[in-house]
Amino acid sequence: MRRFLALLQNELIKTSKRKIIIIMSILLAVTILLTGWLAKLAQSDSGYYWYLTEEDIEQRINNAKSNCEHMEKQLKEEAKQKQDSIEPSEKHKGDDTQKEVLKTIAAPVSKMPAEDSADKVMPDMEKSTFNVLMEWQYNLNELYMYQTMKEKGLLSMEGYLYEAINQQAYLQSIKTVAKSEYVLEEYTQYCEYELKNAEQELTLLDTAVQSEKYADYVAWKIFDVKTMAGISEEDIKRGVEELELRLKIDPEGNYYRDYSLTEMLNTITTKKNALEEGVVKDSASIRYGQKLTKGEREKLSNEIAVLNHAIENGTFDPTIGEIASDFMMSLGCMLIALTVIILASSSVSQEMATGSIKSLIIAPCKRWKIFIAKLSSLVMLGLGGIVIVWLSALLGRLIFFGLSDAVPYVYAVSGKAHTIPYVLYTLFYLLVEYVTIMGYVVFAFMLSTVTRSTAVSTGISIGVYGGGRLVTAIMNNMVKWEMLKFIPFNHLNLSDKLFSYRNLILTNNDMNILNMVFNNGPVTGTLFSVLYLATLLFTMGWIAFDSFTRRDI
Amino acid sequence: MRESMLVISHLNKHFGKRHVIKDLSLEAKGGEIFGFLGPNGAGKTTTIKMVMGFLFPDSGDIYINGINTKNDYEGAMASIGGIVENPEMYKNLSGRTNLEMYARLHGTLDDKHIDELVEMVGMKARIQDKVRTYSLGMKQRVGVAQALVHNPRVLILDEPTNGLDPSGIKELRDILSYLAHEKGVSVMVSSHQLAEMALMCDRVGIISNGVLLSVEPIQELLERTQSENIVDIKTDGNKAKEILGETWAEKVRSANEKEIRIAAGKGDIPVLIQALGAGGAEIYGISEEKLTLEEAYLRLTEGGGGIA
Repeated sequence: MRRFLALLQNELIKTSKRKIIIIMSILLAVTILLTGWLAKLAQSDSGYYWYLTEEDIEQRINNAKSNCEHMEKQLKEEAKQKQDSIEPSEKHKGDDTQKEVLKTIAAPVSKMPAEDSADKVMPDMEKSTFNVLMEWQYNLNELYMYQTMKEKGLLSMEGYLYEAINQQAYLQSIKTVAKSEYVLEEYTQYCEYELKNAEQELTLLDTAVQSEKYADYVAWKIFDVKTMAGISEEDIKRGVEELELRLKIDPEGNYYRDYSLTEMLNTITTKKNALEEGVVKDSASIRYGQKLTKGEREKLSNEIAVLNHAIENGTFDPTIGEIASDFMMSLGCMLIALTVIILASSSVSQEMATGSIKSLIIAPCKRWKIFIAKLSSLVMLGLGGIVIVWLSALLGRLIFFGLSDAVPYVYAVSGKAHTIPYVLYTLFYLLVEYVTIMGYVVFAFMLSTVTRSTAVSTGISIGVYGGGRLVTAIMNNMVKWEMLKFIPFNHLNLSDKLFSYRNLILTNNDMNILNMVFNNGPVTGTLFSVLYLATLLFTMGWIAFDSFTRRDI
Repeated sequence: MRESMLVISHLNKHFGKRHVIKDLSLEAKGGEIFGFLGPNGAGKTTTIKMVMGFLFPDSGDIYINGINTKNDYEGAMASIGGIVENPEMYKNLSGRTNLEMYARLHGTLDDKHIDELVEMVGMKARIQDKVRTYSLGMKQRVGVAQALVHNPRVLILDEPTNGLDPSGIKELRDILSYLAHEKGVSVMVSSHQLAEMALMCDRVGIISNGVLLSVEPIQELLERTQSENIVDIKTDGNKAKEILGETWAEKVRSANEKEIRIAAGKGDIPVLIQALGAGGAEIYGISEEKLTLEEAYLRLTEGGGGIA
């Protein structure tokens, strides 16, 4: 034992003095700090374009006023010109005639289909009264909107209140133009859809803007859905149900724009339906349409429990802090993996090439002890590196985002949700990641021992690490062979398998597209993956062991 | 009687089909310096590597300090120290750290002892520097210190004088002599420097084509391989030949204007001097010609190469 510990100590001394340790340590620190800083920048930028100052609003009001005056002046001049061109005998016929005359000024427009406002055909925009009217209406919209925002002291162009104010101003501006003396028939037809329900809609909008309550906003949105043209009754019904559910879940409207909440609600609904009907409803599953097994039932009820927990606690959408710390940990793991792989791939071969292996062989230590000491030092270094990544990522998150919004990991047993605190969960996750990294490390160590060439072992190891999962992902997405489950890379997502509930939350997040591509392999149980990896590690280790202990040096 | 510290018994080794070590047996005793000689490819380094654990013998036993390496490898190897080919250390560590690491493996990490060894090999000024900055001679010195860090009972050195300057070679010779003759260590040295070996070794073993040809004290080897005694007389050899006439004609090996070489023993010297003196030859010097180790080696190995 004493000799083994001496061997281990020597290995750690040797490795700690290698340049790669220093280089990777610096890279790790820079990576984590840079990631945190960039994420923080993105977070603060995200609101940049959506906030105005009081001066901005005042200026926009003035601009809109000025433009409106200019448009009205232009319209008046055009009307006067026409008035002057009307025969004196016609002048006494009044405003209606003038309107008729104005019609002739307008350029010809195509007839638009009244029932589908989305397919509106715009008249010829060049130098037409219609164009001026549209311009006037646009500026009136701006004017009303910014005036209301000023009244309300609202500076943000995000939020449901802004949306309500914007729509209110739009409808008011259309009404103003439609009731004006300058309006054309074409304009009225063009805005027919909006004018149709304008009064009722404005009533609801006025209430929402007045009260600033999310419930009133939702009432308007429900009206909007019900009066929307071109959608089926079924879609209307679903839309209304979703709005009502959202109001129930989020009475303050904090997540009113959050699409992931909508997706999650849909997911819960689908899973509940599957449980009720007792049939697999996952279209991606090869068992789609078949009766649920007991295990599948349990899994569904657990997933529903986890999703409900996320909705109840408002944790259905990962924050920038969470995404940033995920990135920090992923990049950190990658750096640690590269470091330990490079160390492993030169562990035996470099000593043989330089001749320093002689002092080890001459020492009174059996070869198997030397082998185990070398492997143990790599394992310890990797473990130390992972712990440093964990601490650094936590520190990075603390510095840039704080830990107050750190979300615990939620899992479920027998349909009941449980949590693991964020700090502990991230450590466990990284430790499981480390096990998969060890697969590459043992592979590199085996190559180093068998080939006795640092160049060959490093090249192959790095190539396998960098390209193995990519090539496998391509194969998985192109073919569906049963034998694919024996490719080692399809079992290296152990952390995702063991912490599978995390993916439920991330599934709707665009950031997880990569995860979906890389985890689209054959579905195998966690136990199978663990046993497979254990067998692989043992086999590679044994090959290396046999080569080191029984070959001449 | 000296104890056998290293016993090699019926060792055999194949590299593929080539039988490189053929039933080799030898002993190195405590308190002596054993020279291991042989031409290139004879099997010296292969034998040493098997003793040191680099190669696995196909058959045979190795006993170090009485312990069979098959039965107690670590116990046996604890008594042995050595340098095989060039000493190689960890280049990005200092010489001192290398010594400490090796001592740690032996459980003999003692700063004072390491300091003494460093002083002994003359590396005190540079021991804290990284090994990559050392010359070959410095590495050799530190290698010797490393081999001695655990006070081994058997010391094996393969080409130890490589890279050393003349003073370094003498120092090494003195160290080895001290270790062997004062401390009772069994020292085995493999080298091509025959002149050095002749000065250093008590016994030599000569190997050729994997076969051990002889193992004996140097003097016995020289006497055994010397086919005849030669008396070298510094005189006009041609005149001396005439003077000595028919009686000695067959025994004259060479004659020129400076010397004559005659196959004769010590007892013949007075007779020769008298005869030549009577014949008027002027004698400037007389010596008995001794066979060198190089000549003995070459005779034994039948012209094997690689002699420095």
